[in-house]
Amino acid sequence: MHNFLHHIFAFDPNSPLLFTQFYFWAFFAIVYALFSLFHSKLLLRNAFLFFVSLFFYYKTSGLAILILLFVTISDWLIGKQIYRSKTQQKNSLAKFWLILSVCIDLGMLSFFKYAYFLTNMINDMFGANFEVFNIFAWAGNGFTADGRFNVDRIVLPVGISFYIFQVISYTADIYSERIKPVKNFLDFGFYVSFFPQLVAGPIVRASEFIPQLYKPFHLTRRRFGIAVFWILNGLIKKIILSDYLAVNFIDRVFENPLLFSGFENLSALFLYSLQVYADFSGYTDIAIGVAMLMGFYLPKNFNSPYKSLNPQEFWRRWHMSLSRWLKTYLYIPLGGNRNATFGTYFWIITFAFIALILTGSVVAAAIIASVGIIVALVGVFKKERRKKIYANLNSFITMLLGGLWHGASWNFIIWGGLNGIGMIIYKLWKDMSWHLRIFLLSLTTIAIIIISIFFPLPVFKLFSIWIIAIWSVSIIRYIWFILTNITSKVKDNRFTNSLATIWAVLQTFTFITFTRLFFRSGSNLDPRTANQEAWQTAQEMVNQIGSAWDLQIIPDIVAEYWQVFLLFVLGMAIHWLPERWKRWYRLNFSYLPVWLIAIIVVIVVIFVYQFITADLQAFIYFQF
Amino acid sequence: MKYVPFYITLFIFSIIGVLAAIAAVFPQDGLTIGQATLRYPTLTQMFEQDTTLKESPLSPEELLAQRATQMRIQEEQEFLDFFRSNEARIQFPLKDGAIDYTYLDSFYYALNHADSNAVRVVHYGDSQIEEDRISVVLRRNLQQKFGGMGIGIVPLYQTVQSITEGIKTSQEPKRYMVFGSKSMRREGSKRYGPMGQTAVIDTTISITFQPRSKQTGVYSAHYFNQATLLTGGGNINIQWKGQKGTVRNDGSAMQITNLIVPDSTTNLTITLSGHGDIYGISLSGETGVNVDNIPMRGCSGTIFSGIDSKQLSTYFSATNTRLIIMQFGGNSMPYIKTQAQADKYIGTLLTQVKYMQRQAPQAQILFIGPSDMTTRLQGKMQTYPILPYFDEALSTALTEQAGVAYWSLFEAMGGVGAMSTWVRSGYAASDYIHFTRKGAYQVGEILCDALLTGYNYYTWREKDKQPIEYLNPDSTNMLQEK
Repeated sequence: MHNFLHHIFAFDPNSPLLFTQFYFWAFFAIVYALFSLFHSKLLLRNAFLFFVSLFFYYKTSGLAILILLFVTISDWLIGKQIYRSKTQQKNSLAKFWLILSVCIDLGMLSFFKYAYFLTNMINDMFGANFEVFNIFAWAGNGFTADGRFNVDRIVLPVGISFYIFQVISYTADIYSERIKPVKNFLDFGFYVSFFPQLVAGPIVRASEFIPQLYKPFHLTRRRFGIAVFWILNGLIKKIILSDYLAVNFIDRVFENPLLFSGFENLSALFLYSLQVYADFSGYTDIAIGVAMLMGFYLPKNFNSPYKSLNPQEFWRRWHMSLSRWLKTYLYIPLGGNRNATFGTYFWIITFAFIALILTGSVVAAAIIASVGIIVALVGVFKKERRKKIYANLNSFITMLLGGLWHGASWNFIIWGGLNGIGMIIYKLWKDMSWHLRIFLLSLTTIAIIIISIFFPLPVFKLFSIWIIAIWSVSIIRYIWFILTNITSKVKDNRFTNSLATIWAVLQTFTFITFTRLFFRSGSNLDPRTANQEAWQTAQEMVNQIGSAWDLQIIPDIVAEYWQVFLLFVLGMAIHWLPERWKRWYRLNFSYLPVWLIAIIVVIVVIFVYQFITADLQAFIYFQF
Repeated sequence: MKYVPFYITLFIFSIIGVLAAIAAVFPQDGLTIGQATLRYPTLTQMFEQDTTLKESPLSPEELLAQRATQMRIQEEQEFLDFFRSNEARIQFPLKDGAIDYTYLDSFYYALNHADSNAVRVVHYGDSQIEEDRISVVLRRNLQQKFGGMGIGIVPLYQTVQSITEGIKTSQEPKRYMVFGSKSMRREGSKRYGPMGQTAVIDTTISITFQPRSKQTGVYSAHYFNQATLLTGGGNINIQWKGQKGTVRNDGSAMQITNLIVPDSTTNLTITLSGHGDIYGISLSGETGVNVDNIPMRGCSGTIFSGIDSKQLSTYFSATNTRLIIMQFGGNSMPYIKTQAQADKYIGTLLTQVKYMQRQAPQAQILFIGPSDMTTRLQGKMQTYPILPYFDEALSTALTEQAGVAYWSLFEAMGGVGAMSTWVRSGYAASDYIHFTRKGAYQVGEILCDALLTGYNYYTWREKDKQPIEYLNPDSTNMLQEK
């Protein structure tokens, strides 16, 4: 009995509360039963959910709950101060409070997320040999005197990146007068910690969620069906398309790229694109469904991102709550597409500085700083181009910082940078004439081919094959473009439009997949060694993919891993289904009789359980 | 239509109920349909962690660290067992009441750095080490392991030829000795040089070196690229390999002159003329290990304070002497009958050892006691009765009072009565005192092994100061090495 209680209530780092476990659903059933008793009393409901969320967070992160409570209290208090200063017309005082709040919040985030990164950076730069020191653990030990906290390590608290962004949005929204401060602390605590979205988003903005705090419970029959649909959808994505693929194929390749052939490495990269989407969106689907059952509406976080026709669109469909957060609280304050502000220059200099440390080369840093500043200055004098230049500059900075938000290693910065470059190249391409496009593309293709001849490194071979493919298709499109212009017999029709769409989708998907190389390599690593390890993995994978392939083994590989490849094809096919089809089956599901929905739930549970317990794919070498 | 949470609670619980009911009736090993097996968890599996794997309470890091610690403890235990109880062990001095296993560390450190800074071992002894015995093994093994060449120091005139190097001197010069017959002493002067003997020349005299390599072949000890002359008290003209030079007396206790010879020289003739003392000639390499063999026939080891301290300290510091081996005691055995006599002699030896410590503060001292010696007592061959006591008392005095290391040759060769066995096996001469060459080689080997076991322990301890590799996350990926 004691064990059972201990299991229920104590924090165990090995068994966090995850949506994919029976334990979570038992927890949720009990919470929901109590919720159905309290739901009509708003304050009681909110307070109850606040405490439940705290318990949930404690089960997941242990004493990191103190950090959550700290930022909750500090921003609740500061929010009030900002509002008071605003109402008294003391704008600069309000600004002071806002800056204080942002500093506290980002300070906490930096300490827990970026301490290793910053320490490494300083050590690299000054040849020093600092070690991280967990000052909070040290202080904690001072109070309890039993040495329970380890001062030599800083453990990243689960979900800190998400709830820190939420509390920032709260004070910023009060400052910009989008909302009024929350009077009751329990209400506010509930907003910050609401358990379905606490650890992995979506990032809920204060102005969208706070009003819901004061609304009574309301759920239509259809909404109920949709909520169940999201939960099932998320479970299937998470367990089948993410966990199963990861364990049986992707993780193995990423952990030891050199054991696998070029084809397996490339497959793992593409499969990872599906996996990371299924994992992340699956989790937020469940969060949305769970919240909806309690009558709360969380924003949509993914909109079939791999349907995007270009990198810019991708970011409007991928992790939308983050993109919108960055747009509102970073891109627009930076000046957005109108202006270059102090922030723009600040970040150019900061990234030049980071590059200095990254490469150890003053020249590189100087180049980055001067390119950034020259571009910005061109904007100042060339009025006709100003808007575009500023927009590109600011969005590039936003992408870099967005990369850094995902994790504290160079790989995430590179990943963000690649996305920024992709976006800018797309914007430039979009505005070019076909003649100029082909001219520049041919020039680049020739340059890359020449480089790969003189420096036959795998990475250049890889690039040259890639760009030759792009060039070939572009030539065909160019010819088509000329034909449509000189004769009226050749016209764009549905077929050619579809071809163009497919090409754009594939090209974007390939590009995004390539950037994943840096994304996956940096995930789930020990922060102390993340930089070296991530970089090494990326390098090894490029080497494997860019070296000569043994084409004969490909059929064997596909045959041996047929489940993995079949799931990939199915997953992508469903992903690419037209939105109206998806809406159609979603709606029809929600209108099914409740007993039928219940039966489907049971069947899906049994179905995904087969994947949880499936025998692991045997380990096979194909290349010797 | 509106839904109230109560309905949804019912919905959730009925699903849980159905799932639980299925769990209750579902076969534990799954339901086999055709070739596929449908699995379903039991109720306990639903809410418990996977219990099939018994997880170690330790993280891999902790576990490996624990294993590594255990391994180290066991390894260290083996070393400690050796140094505590093996008869052939080096007995380390006491320091603050505990055995100081680090006593020879500075010597071992110097050996490790001998490739940049030559190290010298000076082996003093009685007739047991004449002919370069015992030292020859030490020299060969150390030079093999740490580099170095040359036989070390020799006197201008040698009465007992070395088995390693053939040395011919054109005539016997006037010689003074701090040991041996009283008639060999020097009136009013302690200037005997580091070998305890000096040759005084007043005419032209030449010395020729030539390897004795019939049995051994030419090896490191036969090569040298510098010849070092120790002189004093006058101007000496030197001629060697077509070169000429003069050492002018500068009034110092001893002058050290390096004669540069071509690399890998094996044969050399040096012609000396003028007036003055020649304290010895050393053949060595610029780096690596040198081992001096300095035998003092009939000596009990009580004469060192009779040598000019300045000469000793000059020599030890100029040659970077890091280990002084003093091997004495055998010559006194026949005359010591009582414990009191033994204690008195030991007292004298302590004074000598301390004197040497003062002259060579950078060097460690290893004292080697007498071998087993047997004599006929009441018609039976047996060990000198006082010998076991003497060995024990000497060891205690040296390690506890003088603070130097001790090696019990007596114990190493087998203790009481061992000499008879050695004589029968041809390891010792029928005088029941001296080793045969064969026996001396064995003694040299076991002494060397004892010293190198200490070295291995040192290396092992040094390794501990670096992080263990497989715990270091930065260590290179093994795959990369393929």
